[in-house]
Amino acid sequence: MVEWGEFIKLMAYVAALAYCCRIRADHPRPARMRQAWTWLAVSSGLSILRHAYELVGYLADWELDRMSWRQILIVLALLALTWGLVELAAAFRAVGFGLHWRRLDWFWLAAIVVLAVPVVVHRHQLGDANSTIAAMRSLQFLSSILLAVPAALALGLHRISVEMTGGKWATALQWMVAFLVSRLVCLCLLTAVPDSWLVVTLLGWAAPWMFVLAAAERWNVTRAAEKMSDQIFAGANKAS
Amino acid sequence: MNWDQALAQEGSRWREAALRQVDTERLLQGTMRRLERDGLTPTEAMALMSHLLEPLCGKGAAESTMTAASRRCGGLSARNWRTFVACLSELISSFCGAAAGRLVDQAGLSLELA
Repeated sequence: MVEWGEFIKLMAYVAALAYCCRIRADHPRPARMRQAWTWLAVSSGLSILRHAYELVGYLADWELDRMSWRQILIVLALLALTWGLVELAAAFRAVGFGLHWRRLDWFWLAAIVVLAVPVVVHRHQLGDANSTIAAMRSLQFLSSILLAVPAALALGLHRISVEMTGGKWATALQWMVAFLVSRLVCLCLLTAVPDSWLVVTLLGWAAPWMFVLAAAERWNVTRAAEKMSDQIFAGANKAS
Repeated sequence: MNWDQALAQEGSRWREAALRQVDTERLLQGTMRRLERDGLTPTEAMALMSHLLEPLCGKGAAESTMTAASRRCGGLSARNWRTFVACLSELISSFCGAAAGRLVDQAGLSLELA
């Protein structure tokens, strides 16, 4: 069952990578949005490597120390994801979105900090915390904190989606928010609620697909724009 | 009441009156002839652009981007419509991509303003 989980996540990140590359190509070279999708693509690529490594590890029944090397890929993927989200938010801020936070947003930020606390406190319950390699244990601690940073950035994306008032892009941002927050909730449940393995497993499988849905919905913006352009062009030709 | 709301109200009145297909088509043809003859006012053109962008980036984003584009090109008038369209296309493409920017260019430049 663990192997199937890894395979499902691997497939999700392959799909996400394909979408990220397409969306990246839709943005001209100096655009911050291009940078954002480049980093999101890098994050997806690193996640593919991580889940492929874990899949092989589970199939070959590797010991914990060997398995804990995955923390390098986890931390790198989280750093790329964080930087991608910072660029994404910056691109929106440049056109005036996400500048005005409401009181409720600060409440949600506090909620994310509260969710991150049990992850850090009970991190010894996570697999790689028992690795004999000190560097991997440190990286595992770092990844617990790094997981909360994208979740906090998700609040900025949520504010932007509210300001956009509908549309495909706003839907994409909401899926991205769901992806980022669900991962933190998943880890929080795993560390703080011992009997929650079923919820954690299902949410863990679903989370990467939320990112795929976010990227797919953003790609739909491009496809819809191209379709409308074609219709206008066809209409103009017919009229002339 | 603004132009957009007036148009929406008029549309619902038509539906309520259950116009026959022929009558609706005649009314539409009349409107299109009026638009061809007189052209659009900048406000009408902006409303059309807003409706075009809404499914892609939402009503709020469409309106605030058009306000920003209008501010950038020094106010909106029939004379500087092309400059406005270029500004709007640049802003839209910065967060919606080049395809959406091209759509704004094509749609904006195909409109005839009075």
